[in-house]
Amino acid sequence: MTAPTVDRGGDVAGAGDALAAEELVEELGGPSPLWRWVGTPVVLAGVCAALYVYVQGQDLDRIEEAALNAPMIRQRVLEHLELTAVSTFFVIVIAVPLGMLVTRPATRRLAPAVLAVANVGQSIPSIGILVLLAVVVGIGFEQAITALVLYAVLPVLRNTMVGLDQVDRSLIEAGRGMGMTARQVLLRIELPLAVPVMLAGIRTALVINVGTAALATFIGAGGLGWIINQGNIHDRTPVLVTGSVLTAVVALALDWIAGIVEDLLRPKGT
Amino acid sequence: MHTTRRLTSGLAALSAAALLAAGCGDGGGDAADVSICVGGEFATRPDGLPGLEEAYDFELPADAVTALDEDALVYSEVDAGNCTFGSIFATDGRVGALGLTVLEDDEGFFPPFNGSLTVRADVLEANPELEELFAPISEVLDDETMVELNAQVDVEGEDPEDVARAWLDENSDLVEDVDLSGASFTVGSKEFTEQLILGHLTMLVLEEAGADVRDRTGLVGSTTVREALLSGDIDMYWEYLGTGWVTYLDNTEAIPDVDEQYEALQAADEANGVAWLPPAPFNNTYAIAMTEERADELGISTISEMAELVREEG
Repeated sequence: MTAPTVDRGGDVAGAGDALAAEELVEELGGPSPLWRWVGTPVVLAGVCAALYVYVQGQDLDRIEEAALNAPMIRQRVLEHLELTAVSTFFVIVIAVPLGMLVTRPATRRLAPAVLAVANVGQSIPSIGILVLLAVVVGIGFEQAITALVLYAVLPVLRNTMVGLDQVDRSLIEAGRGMGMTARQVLLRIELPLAVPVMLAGIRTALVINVGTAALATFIGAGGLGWIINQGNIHDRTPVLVTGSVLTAVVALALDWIAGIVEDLLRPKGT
Repeated sequence: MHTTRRLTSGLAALSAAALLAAGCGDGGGDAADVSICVGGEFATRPDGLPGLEEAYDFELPADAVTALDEDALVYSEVDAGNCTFGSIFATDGRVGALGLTVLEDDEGFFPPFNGSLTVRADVLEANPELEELFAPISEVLDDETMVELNAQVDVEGEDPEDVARAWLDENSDLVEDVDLSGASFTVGSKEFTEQLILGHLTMLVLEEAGADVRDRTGLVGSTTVREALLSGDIDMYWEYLGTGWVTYLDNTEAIPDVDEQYEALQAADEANGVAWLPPAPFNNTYAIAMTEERADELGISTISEMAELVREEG
């Protein structure tokens, strides 16, 4: 089931449209689960194999070799995965509780302010945030994580809010009626039912982070962006192609894994 | 009250996250002895780190090298103590301003990087006065002058074009009485300070001689500018002898003598349709620098000594 696309206009009804789209796809006979589970990794493996063959076939000069050797590529891929994993972790840790907080009746009025901040975080170009951080705080891994988190908070926050808001009121009332406290209702009724929409937001943030992490190279945090930049400043096509293709492969692979997790964590009966 | 409890649990989560983020990784100013910050091109160019490691017989472990794609950051990082060594440019204004000490290249690895105006051969043929026009100016551009001009931009925050214009006003007697009216030239340059100053200086001189000038300065990356020259998108730009010899013409051995290097370069690049005007005295060579305190602490003043340190502790 595809994730609702991030609606930059701030339209909270986006999730509703996406759910309707999903139903339509199912009616039309969407991709079978097997194809979804197996197809993507097979295609990605094929792309990696093709890239390998292409690079091996090139007569690499010394600059290209310095950028495209196995240890260097491994280092940059690992750095990139680390940046993505840590930033996504903090995005979840920050945005999900925040989303829960601003959907409670007592603190609902905070919602517009919180959303505004998250919106700003995503509107400012990432490279701008990175440069600001470099000037004010310094460079390195932590600063890159800060910029990545600021940029990706919005989809997770909004989807958490939408997910919690779209839970059927009658179910909540039923829970209260059964004697559950507000907290029990949140944890046992609202959250589980909001999980599909929340996961979709997390999946979006994950893929956004992979792309934005390519900019981390400009403040000394490495990643696949370093390879891309080397290809750019030295005008070496094999290097540029390798960096770009690997970044895309990582994004698609992580999206695929997130899709599987989404399928597994979806509560039965939704 | 429920609201308070909600708020506190929310805040607790946020603070925990902030603490975790702060705890991850090391703080600044405490670099390992063997740690180097390198600029974007230095990291992979054969006249940069890979060649240096080969010539001095040392190998830096991957986690000791911080690749900073912004060259400017190397200076601030070394100064802040986040890396012990840094790859710098010899005529950069910040070296003196920050009190950095430059390690001696005792094996003579780095080729001469004297600046020279490279012009498309066909453009030079059509306008031979260019050589006459730029010779007296090129002659007086020595290390001291370039450091001073660069410092005006990088340390004092002046605009490169203003700096170029001010210098030209002071040295207007150097501009030969050459008439280039009717001719038009496109001048390029790389993106860093010295290149911008030289690029604007070139344009101002050409304009004084009556030519029409198109500004293509500030192109990012050595290769980009070089390609622009070869394809004719620009007519001329200031390049460095070593960069031409090692990076563009792909030679493995540098020629330490400036005149010999220049002659060899001139002869070889004819085939590419590029002419090099006689080089200026300034040598903006790659160099390795460290703060004076660290240099004293570790007792290092040459690159060989740095190599030894890497072999021992790397």
